[in-house]
Amino acid sequence: MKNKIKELRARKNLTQLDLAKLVGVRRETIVFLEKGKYNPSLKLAFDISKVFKLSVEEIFY
Amino acid sequence: MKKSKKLLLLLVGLTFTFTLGVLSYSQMAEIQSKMLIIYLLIGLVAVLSIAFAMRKVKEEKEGQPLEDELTTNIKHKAGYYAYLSTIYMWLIIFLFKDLLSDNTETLIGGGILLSGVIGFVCKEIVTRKLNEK
Repeated sequence: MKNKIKELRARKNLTQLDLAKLVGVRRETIVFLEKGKYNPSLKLAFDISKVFKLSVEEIFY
Repeated sequence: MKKSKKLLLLLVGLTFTFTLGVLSYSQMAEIQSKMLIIYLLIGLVAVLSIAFAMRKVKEEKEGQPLEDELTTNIKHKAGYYAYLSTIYMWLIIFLFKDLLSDNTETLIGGGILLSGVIGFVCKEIVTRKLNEK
């Protein structure tokens, strides 16, 4: 599964650590998500979509 | 509080290394090659544990949670692989026990240490190949 997390994070000037703190996970998880090496749980996907104020489908495809 | 944690880790690490050093030095003449492998395993496990603990302390300092869904997933998968690998490891140890060592304690101790190393290796493999079926 691909995603736009890196791009959206850059637009919002957020570091991986900032995003990790906002969604309550470890920075390592954000790294894995951005590389497409990890498919997030539904809860994490929704938490990320809330941070960027977008729908889950717009971020993960 | 955080400084004292770091200090404690450092002290434990130094004590362990010192004890290992004294033990190795005192038995230098008597150390057999098989025992040397076990000492190396002890050292490897100790170094890995200390490095892992230091990383955890650093991450905690940054305000990151110690565990999340990714770490839980990795733990479950790695645990499964480590469990299977360890069964085969014990089977091999018991099949070739005559070749490995005459001393049962050495065999069991070595097996336990090797289980720790297997667990670490499995965790690394699972982390690298997380999304592969």
